[in-house]
Amino acid sequence: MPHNNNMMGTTMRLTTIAAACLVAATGSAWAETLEERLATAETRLASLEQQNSVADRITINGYLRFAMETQTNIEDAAGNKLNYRGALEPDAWDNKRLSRAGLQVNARINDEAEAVVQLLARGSDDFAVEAQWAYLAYNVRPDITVRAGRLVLPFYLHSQYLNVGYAYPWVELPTEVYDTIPADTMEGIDATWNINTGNINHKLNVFWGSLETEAGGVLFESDHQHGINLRSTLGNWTSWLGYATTLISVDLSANPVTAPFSPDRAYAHFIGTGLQYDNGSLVLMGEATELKISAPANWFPRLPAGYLMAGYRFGKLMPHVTWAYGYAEDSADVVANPVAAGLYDTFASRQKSWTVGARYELASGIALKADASHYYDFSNNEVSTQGVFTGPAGSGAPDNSNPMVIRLAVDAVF
Amino acid sequence: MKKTLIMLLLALPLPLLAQADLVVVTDSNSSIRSLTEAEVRQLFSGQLKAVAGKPVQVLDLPGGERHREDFYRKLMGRSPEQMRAYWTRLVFTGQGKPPREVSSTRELTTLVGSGGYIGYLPAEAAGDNMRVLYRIQ
Repeated sequence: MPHNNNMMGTTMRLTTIAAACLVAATGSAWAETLEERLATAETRLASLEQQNSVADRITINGYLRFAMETQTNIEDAAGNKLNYRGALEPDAWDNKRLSRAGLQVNARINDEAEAVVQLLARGSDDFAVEAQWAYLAYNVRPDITVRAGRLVLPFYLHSQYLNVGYAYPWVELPTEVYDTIPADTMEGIDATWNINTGNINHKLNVFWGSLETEAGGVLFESDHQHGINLRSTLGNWTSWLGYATTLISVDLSANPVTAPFSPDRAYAHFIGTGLQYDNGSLVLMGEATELKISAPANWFPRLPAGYLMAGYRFGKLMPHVTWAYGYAEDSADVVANPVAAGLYDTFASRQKSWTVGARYELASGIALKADASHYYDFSNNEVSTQGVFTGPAGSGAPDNSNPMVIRLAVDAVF
Repeated sequence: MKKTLIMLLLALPLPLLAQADLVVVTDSNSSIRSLTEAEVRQLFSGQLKAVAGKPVQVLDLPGGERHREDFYRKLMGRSPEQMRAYWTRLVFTGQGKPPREVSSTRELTTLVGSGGYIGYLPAEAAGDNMRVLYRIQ
């Protein structure tokens, strides 16, 4: 046995020496290749890590919609042709007004700060690119986020994503409610507090900012716009409560007759309430809103609006039906003056509508939609309006039995 | 005889229902002991971003994975398309990001094992380095 051990020891020693000689002989070459290999591997690892951190830091999302719409032949009592929102014509498809594309980049600056830019190109603006969102977000605490920059107006249940068609069932959001204010962004600051109480999640948001928008051919400047809103979720239920006030200035001095009626930092308020139920199959939604501007001689109407929607998912297909209304109130409050009455009439719009539609999930991220809307009830004993229809000067409300608009769309997110 | 028959009848639907239980897991060294159903729902819908004061990141199995579809159907009664629409509403309003999507169950187990992550997988795929926080039957 000892002999054996000795033998093995000798063999081992010999092998070691042989190996040492080999290393000595080819030493530099080995070390180089090893070092090189290590260095290459390290570089590769570093670049992989870099890629990972860029992927973690920057996310890009987008949405795209192609929509087409047309209307039936709509005339007033005198036979004047009327157009839905001044855009549609019978026997012709408009492929532009509701078509749009958006691209959003979220870039994380550090653990607390993030920059978000969402660029939007709308067919209605000839696809001119504008920023829908462009803000810096900062997490003051894990549950409080402060944002500054261009923000979307938090006025409605669906207002924050109103351009992302994939997020809601219709081709066009109920126009009576969603077009009360012809603007969807403001420049300002907001703070959102995320609160969990038991099973209920609340998002309490306060905001302050300003905006400019054109309506009825005049420029509305909204200043010192501030408000508060609360979105609460409990299981299948979501509720929305919002209140905003602002100071509105409108320059009507282009015409000496209307000049004295220019609102100069006139107080205005907007109230929005909404409720949604979605158990995965049944979807119910309702919203009620109101806009009022305290204009000189009370010429601006109070504009309440709302809708109720019900839908049911049969697998990938969801048929839905919606009833909506938009009224113009407080005509009796307008000071007896023909100019004030004329201004009131310009901004007063009354109508109701029924919309039946369907959404089909072609794939995760792509939805096909079709809606048909029927409009009615454009006047009552106080106001006589054309609703959202327009026609030649002096034209009246749609008079034929079936003023209808048909819309088709494909909505995608990526 | 009657008893056996009843037993047999009771046992009959079992093989049909014997779909794999899904478990919500984190690493075994985590300070989180367990989660309630409401917490799991809130975590995977982006309403809850921290548990017991510690930020956590949730992981999703690859899109189109059968277990992912099962998870959301059982937990929230939502189809993959509905979850997509839900996250669309949050993503484009800057309110949240969907869970990080892994490329495979193996990536999920590796990440969960590394700490700070919460994921879900079939019960039999849960390893020794993981703690089961919630079980979906």
